[in-house]
Amino acid sequence: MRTLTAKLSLGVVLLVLLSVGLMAGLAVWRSAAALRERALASNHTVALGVSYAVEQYVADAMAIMREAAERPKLRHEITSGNWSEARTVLENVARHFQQFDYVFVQDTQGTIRARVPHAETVGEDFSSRDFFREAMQTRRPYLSGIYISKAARRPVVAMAVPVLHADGRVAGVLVGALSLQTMSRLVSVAVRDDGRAIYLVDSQGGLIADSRGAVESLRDMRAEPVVHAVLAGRADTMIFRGPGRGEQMLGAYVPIRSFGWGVVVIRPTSAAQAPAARLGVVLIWIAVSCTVGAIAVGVGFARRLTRPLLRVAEASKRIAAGELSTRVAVSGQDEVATLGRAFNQMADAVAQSHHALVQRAAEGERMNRQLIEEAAVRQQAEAATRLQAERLAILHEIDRGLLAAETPAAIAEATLGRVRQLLGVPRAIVNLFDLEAGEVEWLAAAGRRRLHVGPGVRFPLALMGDVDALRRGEFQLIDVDALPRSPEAEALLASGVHVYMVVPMIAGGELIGALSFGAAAGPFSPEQVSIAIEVAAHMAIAIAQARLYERVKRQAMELEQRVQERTRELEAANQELDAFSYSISHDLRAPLRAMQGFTEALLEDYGERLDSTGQDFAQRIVAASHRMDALIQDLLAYSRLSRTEVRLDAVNVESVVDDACGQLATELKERGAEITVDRPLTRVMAHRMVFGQILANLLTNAVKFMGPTTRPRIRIWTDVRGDWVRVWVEDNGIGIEPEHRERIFRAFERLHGVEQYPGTGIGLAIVQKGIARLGGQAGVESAPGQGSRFWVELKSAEA
Amino acid sequence: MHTNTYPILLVEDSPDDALLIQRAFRKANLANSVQLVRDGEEAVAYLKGDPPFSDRREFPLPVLMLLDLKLPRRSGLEVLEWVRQDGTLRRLPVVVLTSSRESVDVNRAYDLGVNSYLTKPVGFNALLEMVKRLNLYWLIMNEPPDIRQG
Repeated sequence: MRTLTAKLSLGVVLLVLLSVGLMAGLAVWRSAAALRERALASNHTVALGVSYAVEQYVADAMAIMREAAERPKLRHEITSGNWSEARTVLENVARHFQQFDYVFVQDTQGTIRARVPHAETVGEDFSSRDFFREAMQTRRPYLSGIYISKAARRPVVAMAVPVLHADGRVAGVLVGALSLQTMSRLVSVAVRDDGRAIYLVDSQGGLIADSRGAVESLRDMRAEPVVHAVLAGRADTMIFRGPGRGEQMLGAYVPIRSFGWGVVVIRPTSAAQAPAARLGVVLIWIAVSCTVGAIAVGVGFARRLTRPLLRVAEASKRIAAGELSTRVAVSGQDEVATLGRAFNQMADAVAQSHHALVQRAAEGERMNRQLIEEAAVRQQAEAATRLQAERLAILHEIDRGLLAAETPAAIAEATLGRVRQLLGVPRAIVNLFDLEAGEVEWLAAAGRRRLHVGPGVRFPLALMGDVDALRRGEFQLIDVDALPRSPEAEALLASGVHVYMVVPMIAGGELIGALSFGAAAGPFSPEQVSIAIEVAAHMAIAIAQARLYERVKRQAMELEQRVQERTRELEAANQELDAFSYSISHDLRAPLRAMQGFTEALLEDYGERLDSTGQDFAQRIVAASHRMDALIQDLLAYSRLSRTEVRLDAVNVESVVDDACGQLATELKERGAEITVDRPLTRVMAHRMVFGQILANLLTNAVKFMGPTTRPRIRIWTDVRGDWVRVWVEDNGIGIEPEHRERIFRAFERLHGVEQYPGTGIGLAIVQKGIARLGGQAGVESAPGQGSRFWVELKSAEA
Repeated sequence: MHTNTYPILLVEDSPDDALLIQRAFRKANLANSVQLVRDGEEAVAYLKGDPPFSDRREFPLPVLMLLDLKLPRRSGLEVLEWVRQDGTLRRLPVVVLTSSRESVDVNRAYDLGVNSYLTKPVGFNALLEMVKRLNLYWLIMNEPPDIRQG
């Protein structure tokens, strides 16, 4: 198509496309640039806010640790190695300050001595940890980078504070693991759903907290250009490409200079510029529709030739110059008229799109205003945070007082003055309730000039208002002028108190007292009320604890006294038993000796005059008194075993066996016993005398229970079973039925008649008793007719 | 000094035991005579030569004292303590012959300086055997100390 129409049409189309495209491009580019700048600025504000919050939080936590480390009680417990008491102090810190996941104390060697919670690492050497070395060397508090806790198995940040003696030497190191959860909350506070991410890194670039998710492992962030910049100590903004997909990011970073950490806020450029992109799409649509219109105009124009064309061109120039209301006059139905109408349509479209752009700009303006409002709100919040921090500082002081004191009176004394100051009232009182008596007792009262500490005045419970409401935790506001006239009300009025507030102190669900404060006139501000409620809650816990502590102390003393009484009673009983066995051994045996001696004398001197029956009777008297003597001797040995003081030493079993064989030599020879000892025998922990008695009884037992024609063959050996040594005494005797194996170790149990196997029935009971005193065990393996293997088991002395 | 001219002082309150011990001495054919006293005070009186034991020809100082521990009036241990503190008699060989085997008694007796500690056996033959050995050791083999006459 080489016609003029075609050429003109093409020319007009290109012209319109070019102008509309230029306008759209310019609008999109400018809007994107403005959005980018705004995003960077807002990122920077957020980073500043977060860095301020983190710094405050860490400084607060550090102040708590320093205060705990300076407490004389902790220093005293650490110096005197009283770790269980030190642990009690740690428990107090952990309970009152949620900032710490756990706290522990290391001695100067780096060994963990007390820890709350995760006590399982107590006793472990942590001397190689950076926080321990730094605290020991610099004798100053030290904040570590992020690392993986051994006990908790997750990343923590440790805060180490040296516990110092008065002369500046280090007594130990107090360490607290900062709660990373709170850090996570701090960085997540300013996140909106606009793609913004905030994270916190330590001085080595290790990730401490991230708004995108909990930090579960160690992550080195130094590869990020923003982290690199913030660790250099600069605060600025930066546009950079992320390492992964290479997405362009808008970053802002602020270092926390006091401990070398950094806060980074990033946001993908695409997210920040999303409104501009949407605008671009709208403009492209407009361009397309313009092009379609332009083609139509071009065709019409080509038909009507130059004049109307010039008119249209003039009009389009004016439109391009900004006179969007310009239209061309249209008459008739020809192409030029069509072109005129088309042109007018185009002008309408341009006016429309211009209108849309103006609206966009207005919207942008509105967004801007919104951001400014947000910033104002943030500033207000920061101011509130500062106030809160001041209040917290005083509350911390109060908490310190609570922690250090040990009795309810001391708690009230240590804190009440500051509570009054914090509330800004002339008078504050801590009362304890005696609900049964319907009375209230002053624990302490603070006025402008002085602090009075109880035991104080008692007055009716009615002055505290509605007790049931107090029990539910509701505070009471009392108008003194409306109270019935009483000495107490008069005294209050005289001291200038016309209205007072009663805040209940509740511990463990029980109403124990109240914190009350009064002034010349009400009402009290919400701030005062919330402070009083908070302080009352802390005081209630501390007082309940102190009462508990006093009760435990009293009970421990009572227990101690009871133990002493019991011990005295036992000692007396033991002495009585001693005296008793002494008389048995002396007095019971004397007549026995006489019976026996004279019967033997009778047999010897007058034997010929007795017939065989008379001689038999006399023999029976002798035998019976022998048996009774043996019985008394065995009983004495048995009772002596319970009373002998047993001390365990390494004992050579071979020499004890030799002694026992020597002691029983006559009896063994008489029975023709053959004794084999499998030397060497393992040494055991025992009391030599008691063990000797055990072995002698086992040997006597082994040679006694023999078949009538059997010659006793005894074998003795030891075998080692872990920490224990079993000493075996094996015989070739008559053996024991399985059902009797338990019974034979009991006193006076006999399996055979005295005629067949004489004995007292106490021999094996002595073995059992003796081995129990030595902390060992005894037993037997046997089968009837197969002999028996008796064993005793004792701790090995060859460790 | 010929030991067999001096008596053995037997301090024993039980008439049965005294009779049996004296019989055992007789059966063992002891050269020395046996003087019997019945309680701790009598023993002290005999050793001091107080009446009725003032005649040293009839009641000479013993060469050995056999001492029971459980005695009326003054216990065997008290007699032993007194003997060991007396300037004249402190070297007198004293053998405890008693029925108590309690280690308290044994140790206390040795602490007070007893020369030997024997328990009364049950059965006359055992007693006779003991008396024979006592005689052999203390009266024949043992070299006695000088005891100055008061």
